[in-house]
Amino acid sequence: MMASKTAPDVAWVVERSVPQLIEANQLVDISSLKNDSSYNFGDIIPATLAMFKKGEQVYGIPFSTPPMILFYNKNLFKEKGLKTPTELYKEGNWTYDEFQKAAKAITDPSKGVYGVKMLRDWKNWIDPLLPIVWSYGADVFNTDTTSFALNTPEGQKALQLYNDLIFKDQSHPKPGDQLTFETGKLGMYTDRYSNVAKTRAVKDFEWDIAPMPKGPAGAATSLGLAGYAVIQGTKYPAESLEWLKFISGKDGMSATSAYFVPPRESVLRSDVFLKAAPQPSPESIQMAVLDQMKGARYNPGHKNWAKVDAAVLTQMDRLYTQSVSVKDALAMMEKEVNPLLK
Amino acid sequence: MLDTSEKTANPVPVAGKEAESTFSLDKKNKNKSRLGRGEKWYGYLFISPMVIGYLVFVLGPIVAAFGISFTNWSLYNEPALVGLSNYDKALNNDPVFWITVGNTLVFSLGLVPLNICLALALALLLKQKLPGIGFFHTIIFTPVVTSIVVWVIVWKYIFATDAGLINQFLKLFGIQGPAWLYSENWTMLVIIIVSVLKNVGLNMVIFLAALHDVPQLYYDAARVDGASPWRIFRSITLPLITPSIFLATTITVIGSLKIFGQIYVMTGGGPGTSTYVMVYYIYKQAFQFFDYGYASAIAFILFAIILGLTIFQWQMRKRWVHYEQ
Repeated sequence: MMASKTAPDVAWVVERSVPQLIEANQLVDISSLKNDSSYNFGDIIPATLAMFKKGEQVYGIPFSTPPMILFYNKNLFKEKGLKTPTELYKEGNWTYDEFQKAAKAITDPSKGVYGVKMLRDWKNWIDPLLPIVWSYGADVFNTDTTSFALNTPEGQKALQLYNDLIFKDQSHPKPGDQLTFETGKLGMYTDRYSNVAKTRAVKDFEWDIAPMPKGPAGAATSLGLAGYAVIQGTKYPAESLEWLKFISGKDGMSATSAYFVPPRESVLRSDVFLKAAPQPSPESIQMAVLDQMKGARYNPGHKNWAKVDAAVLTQMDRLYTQSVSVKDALAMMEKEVNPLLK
Repeated sequence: MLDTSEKTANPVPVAGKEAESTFSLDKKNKNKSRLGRGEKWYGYLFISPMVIGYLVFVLGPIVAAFGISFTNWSLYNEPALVGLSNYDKALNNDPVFWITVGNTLVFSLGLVPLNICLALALALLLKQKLPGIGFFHTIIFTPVVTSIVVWVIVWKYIFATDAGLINQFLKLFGIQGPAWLYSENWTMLVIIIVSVLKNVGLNMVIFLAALHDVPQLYYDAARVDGASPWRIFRSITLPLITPSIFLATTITVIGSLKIFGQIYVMTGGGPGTSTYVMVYYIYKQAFQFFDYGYASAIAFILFAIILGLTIFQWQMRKRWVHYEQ
């Protein structure tokens, strides 16, 4: 639509494409919002803005910044007499070791029950991997996204844990399986907070949310980002900006906070967000979402993201078909991805 | 002995047929001299919607794509001519391109014989006029009119690794089924089977029509002469339906080289690049990597391959296709 100049005036832009769009001059500079007193720009959590900025210029406003959290099936945990992730977290013991142990204990092949699932779609490697990778002290890219950084001993340990869950412990569904949390056959499921929209409809079992476990380098989770931007070429730049101000202002964000984790401090801590629905409880939301957002980092992006994604996925597939070891897969990824980041 | 080759050499002088043909020839000549200016324009008027539609929506974009294949257009930038560099990149600098060509050919080689033989077998089985035979025709033809996306999504669940229907069924016999869609060996085979099941109905219908056209008197005469069922099939049925086999094979080959829907929904080209086929690669280059120039170049290489194969089949036709009207 942008190529044919028929794009809308204001749009929801996927955060990973934003660097590409800024490079191609497709988004309008909206830095004037910074100085608008009624807008309260400072209310927006700074980390959530990083992807939408180029230097000091702002090109978009985030409206939903859901962290990756853990959904767990209380019934399955009770059945096996296990402490729930929430209890372990309160004790300070919610680690990846406990995570792995719980997943193994819950898995029951005869009933088709698995301990954990960390993704919705087998083409998505970044969402399951980032939290583990970060909490092991590794990262997929270096700080300015100019080289592939996962081929390190820590990165290997993180990827090996993921691989073991699927093939050694067999507590994670195999590649190609489509199992969902709502069927009640998954002990734990990691997804963005926005998934509560689906889980709130579950009637057959009790569930709750908990933070992601912590690894040797501490607790880490990733932040999804969705943002609004004004598209270059709009015939109504002033009106578009007003509209953007309205929907991303305090009232606008409060209205959507039942499903979208608002990046405005004031809304995040308000009852509008915490008490949006009976489940999950405000206490759980506080623990799993608010407390984790401070240290959370957003998914990386790059103007060549599509090609990088395809290159990494090809090697992940070789892991999924058990054709290579974790070590070789990482080496191949490094080889294929580095040229793309130049 | 019945000589079945007479049809091509001398038309059987069946009473009335000769007279009919001369009559129609006269009529044609009469019509030619009768078409005045007025009627000619009516002819053009009637075909103009189709021609205009074809020019605007088919020929135009094809020519445009050909032009784009010589540029480096990537949606946001202004296109600049780069000569043959896209074609050079595909043929010399892109190992993934050759993987996609290989996968496409493997798929085609797997699908076409399987599809044709199965369609022929089904047609032979179902050509008798038994009561209720239409029901079987319908169930085999229904997948042809089903949406490809719906068809493939259902099969994706059936072939799911542990929870899928097939592996659950195999578990009953204590067999641990493979990860059908996550195995370098099985995934292409699964796509072939799913595709065959979808389109075999169409070819079966073509063959049924052809089989009905074989005059019963040839079969009766052959049986009188003591021919075995296999001899009848080989010497009477098969030669007489070769035009339809040629048609079905050509269409199926062309279609199989252009598959996309199954790959996009079922495997996304995976695992790795084991099910990357040419049209899927074109899609990825154009709409995910935004490299329209390169994608167009690959599209025209595919066009050249299909054209070459079709011309080859057309030439070979003289050798094995008999009795064309």
